[in-house]
Parts: sequence; structure tokens; C-alpha cells
Amino acid sequence: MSRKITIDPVTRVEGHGRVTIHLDDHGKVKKTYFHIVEFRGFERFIQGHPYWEAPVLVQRLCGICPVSHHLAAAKAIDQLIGIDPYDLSTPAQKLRRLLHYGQIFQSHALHFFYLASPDLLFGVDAPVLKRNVMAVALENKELAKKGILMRKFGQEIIKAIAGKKIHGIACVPGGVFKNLTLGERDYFLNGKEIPNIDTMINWSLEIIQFMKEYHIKHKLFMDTFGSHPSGHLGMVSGNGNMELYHGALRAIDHEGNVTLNDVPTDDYEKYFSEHVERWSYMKFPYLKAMGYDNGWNRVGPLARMNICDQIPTPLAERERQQFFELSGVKVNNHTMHTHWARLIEILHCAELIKELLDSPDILERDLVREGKPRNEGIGIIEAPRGTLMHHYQIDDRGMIIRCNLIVSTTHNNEAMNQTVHKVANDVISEQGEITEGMLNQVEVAIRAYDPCLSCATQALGKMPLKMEIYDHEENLLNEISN
Amino acid sequence: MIMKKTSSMKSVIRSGQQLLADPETLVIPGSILIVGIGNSGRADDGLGWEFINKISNREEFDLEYRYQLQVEDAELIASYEQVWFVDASHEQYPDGLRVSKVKPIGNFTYTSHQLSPEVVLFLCQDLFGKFPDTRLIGISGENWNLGEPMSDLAKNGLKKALEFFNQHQIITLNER
Repeated sequence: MSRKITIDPVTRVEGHGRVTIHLDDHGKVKKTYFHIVEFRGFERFIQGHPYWEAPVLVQRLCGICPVSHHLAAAKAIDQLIGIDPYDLSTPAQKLRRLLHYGQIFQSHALHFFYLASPDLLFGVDAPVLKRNVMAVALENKELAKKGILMRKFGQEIIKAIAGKKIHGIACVPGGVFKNLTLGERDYFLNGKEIPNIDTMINWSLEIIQFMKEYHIKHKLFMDTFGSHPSGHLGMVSGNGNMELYHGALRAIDHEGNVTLNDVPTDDYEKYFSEHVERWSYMKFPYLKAMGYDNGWNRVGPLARMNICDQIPTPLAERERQQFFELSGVKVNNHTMHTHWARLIEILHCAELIKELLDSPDILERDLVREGKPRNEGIGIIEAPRGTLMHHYQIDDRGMIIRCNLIVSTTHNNEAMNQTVHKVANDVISEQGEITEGMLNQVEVAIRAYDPCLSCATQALGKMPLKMEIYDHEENLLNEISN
Repeated sequence: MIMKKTSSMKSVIRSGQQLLADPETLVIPGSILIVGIGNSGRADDGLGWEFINKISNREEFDLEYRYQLQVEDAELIASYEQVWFVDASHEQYPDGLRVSKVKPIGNFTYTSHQLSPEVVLFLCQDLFGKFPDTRLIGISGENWNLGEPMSDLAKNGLKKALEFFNQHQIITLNER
């Protein structure tokens, strides 16, 4: 008898998604869907608002990555007043970068320690009540404390620049609102009130070491679970280095062949299109030149490792090289290695934060530039989850008449769907009884992408996990909830 | 949303009246944190935040707003001698509010998106080897709809909660 299995919602991700797995008469996986079932609609309802409101409004897309939306929108709004990224004052550029790196640092720490570590520490078939950070805290106190304090460090960076840890305001058109005071800077350097940036770098190295040892112990799982070929997209600097704030867009296929050759971010519309499916609110971006079937890409930490020539900070670059040596591939398509790549980025951001904290420019007051107004602005950054695109058009009164957002998780839509299909096929197909642990493995694969579903569809997600099994006539046979 | 005042002042609770649900009223030295939990966009769910708004001129406390309690709050409260959580409650208390002493309880569920005060205390004890003296003020509410004003029941409960709090006046050691 054919069946349909529903995982609704997917847990320990940001937002609300659902997976349906269709089985044939023999219990073999026929097709799978990763549905995004919430809708936010920011692209539409921001129309009619004055352009300067955009960086404040759009960050309400999310409670996890508001800083990323704030910065992408700010870059676009800069252009609306005639300021391109390199026109910003040096203090403004550095303060925005410091904010950005603090955001990536805290977001990656949140994901690894709070959301992903239970999967790695307790296994993909661990009891439901063990799959959370509280269990990590009970059994791995030091790891949990470091996770909490690392996330706090990133959040304190955000608070120092934007006033609040969540939904603060740092950027104004053409610059930033405030510099750092000496006291605010020293708070992160002297280690008196919180562990300092040197400690953050050391802890980042420790957790990467943990991951390398985990890879040795669980090599088969890490190298095969959810692995599949894909394109990879991200941003690089002029010399091909990993770049997170502003650079050129580069994509490669699963073997490393360049499919998008360092194009300016302002030209993104020439190269990208979006496909729509009726079963999901989330679109499917792809490279026009390659078509929908072949032009989709992963974005985020794993993609960034793959597309860059090197990382411009020494410790993270050393770890990137080891990452490829130990994984034994030229282009890494191993989904679970995304966790490893994410930790290397934590280290990279910590090194960048230290560089910026040591720079006297962040204490300067030359914060805002003015230019000649335009009617169109594009802001693209590498957010924690990947390439984030904001595009605004305004009328002559400065009111927004068009907004296009291609969010990191949206880029990963097809990749996540492919991963779900791969894992369902490997784990569930022809297995007879479908256990809750099997279904959790599907979620484990999705979590590797750290999807932010709220951002990707423009609701707060409810978190109960529910599985429904239907027969081939769509009759509900069984329902399991945790 | 956060409104935090730097305060390392030694404080005490002056013994005035009995706690409504917990007769233990003590002189407690140390820094004090008051955390309002809720969402001001959802009618009576904003009671915790409104409580904080009403005492925002009090220099002797650190104040925090929270949508929900999370793991990192265990680290936050570890540095305080005393913590008060204020939250709206679905329960209908005879006096419109209930004040109780919170004890650490490791009652975990599958989600870590929101934790109870008891679990936050438990994590605080487990990770940092100590936990503050902690009270929870629950204020009865009845309307949780998006964008609607606070109900009369909630307003009355809030008034009583503030009266209770002020009657149990907190003063600094220096002032004493």
C-alpha cells in the first residue's frame, strides 16, 4: 500500500517547515517535499514606505538574523542616496563589518551549540527528550558554558554597536549611527566582565578540534549522510579571498568548474531567476544560464569554503586547508561537513573581530557620507546562512515601489529538497516500520543547512513534531506526536 | 528589548507584608534583577513588560524584557543575588496575582525555544554552581489577541502587583 508520511513541523530550525515523504506499494520512497508553510510577505507590504525605513523594517523578518537584513538593506539604501560600498567612511565600513562579524559569530554559535550539537553528541536516533541543548548542558557542562558565552560575546558586539542584541539600529543612509567608545571597545579586550576576544579565538579552535576528532570517529556518517552533488555560490573579494560584507559573486559546480565568474553584485538580476512551485511558499533561485534543473546552488558556510581561494585570516585559512585535506575532496559536497565549515567561519569571524577591535578607526566619528540620490539600490552580503540579496526601487518622493529579497535559505531550497530525498531514500525506503528516529534523521539533514524559514518566506514557528501516515487514498492511518 | 541599569549596589528587601503565596519574606543582600516576560503586542501577554515599564525609574534594579526565557538567561541570572520574574498567567488567581518562590527543577521538554523559570534556575545551578533567590509574580490575564488593549482584569492585577512590589520596598544598604 502506498503511503504519505508528514513531518510537521521540522524542529530546531528557525521558522516553520514540513516534510512529506510519499512511499509506493512496496514502501520505497517515490518523492519527497520540503514545504515552507509560513508566509511573511515583506516584499509586498514594504511598498509605499519611505526608503530610510527599510533597514529598520526588514530586520523584523527574523529574530535570529536581523542584523544581516539590517546590513543588506542598509547597503541598498546607501545606493539610493548615491553611496556605493567603497564610498563609506573608513570608520563606518569597519563598524558595519564589526557588527556583521559579531552577528555571524553569535548566529553560528547558536546553531552549533544549541541546535546541532545534540545530533552530534547523542546521535541521530537519540530519545526525543535528549535532543536539546539542556541535555548538552547536563552532560557536557564546559561545552555548554562555552556555547552560551560565545553566543553572548557576539550578541554583546551587536549591542555595543546597535544598542540592542535583537532589532537594534546601527546603520543610517550613508553610514552608521555611532562609533564605539573606548570603554565599549575595552569591554571586549580586557576580559574583566566577559571572556575576551583572545578567549573566543581559543575556544573556536577547541571546537574545531572537537569536530575534526568527531570526523575521524564518525567518518562514514559525516562523509555520506545527506551528501549529494550541487553547485556552490558565495562572495569573494577581488583576489578571490572569502568575503562576507562586500565583493563579487562566484559560483562553481560540484566539480569546481566556475559557473558564475566573479560578477558585480549590482548585476545579480542578469544572472539569477526564481522558480515557483505550488507546494511551497519558498521560491527556487537558479542561475539563468544553466536553467532551473542545473542552475541551483548551495549557499552558506560549506559553499563559501568551496568557492573561495583562501580565507584572509591565518588560523581560519590553516583550518580551511585541513578541512579539504581531511575530507579528501577538491569540492566538498558532504552536507554534514557544513557544521565543520560553520565552525571555521566562527574562527574566521573571531580573528576579524580582533583585527577590528585593535583598529583605532572604530573610535572615530567620521561616520556618514552623502551622495547624489538614485532610484535603485542593491545590497548583497554573505549572511550566516549564505548569500542575502536586497533590492529596492523608489519613486521620486523616496517611497519604495518595488522590493526583491532573495534570502540565503531560499538559495538553499532545492539543495535542502535534494538532501531530504537522499536521506529519506537511504533511511526510510523499504524499511517496513517507520520509526521516529528515522524521521529525525531527515530533520538532522535539514538542520545542517541552518535554514531560517521565517526569513525565506517573509511567524513564529510552533515546535511540536508531528508525523502523519496516509494510505494511497489519502486516508490518515496513524499520527505520532512528541 | 533590554533596559539594563548598571547596579552593583547592595540591596535588601524590607520586610513589610507577607508574600501572597510564599510567607517567606527575608532580608536579602545583593544585586537585584527584575525580568518582565511577555509580548506587548498580544494584549494581556504584555503584563510582564508593562510591570517593568512602571518601575523603570527605579535605579536600584537591573531590568530586562524577554519574549521568553532561554538558555543564556541562566548565565545572566548567575551574577545576581536576587531575581524576580514577572509574567502574565492564564490562571485566574483570587487576588489577581500569585507570588511564589522559584526552585530549580530540571523539567526539560523537547524544545529549548522557551524555558520555565524553574529550568533556568536549574541550568544556572548546574552550569555555574549557584543560583539566585528567585520569585515569580504571575498576574492573571484573559485576553491574548494580537494588537488588542489590555483587559480590565489584567490592569487590576498589574496594579495589585505593583502595590505588592512597592509595599515590599527594596532599598539599598547605603540608604538603610
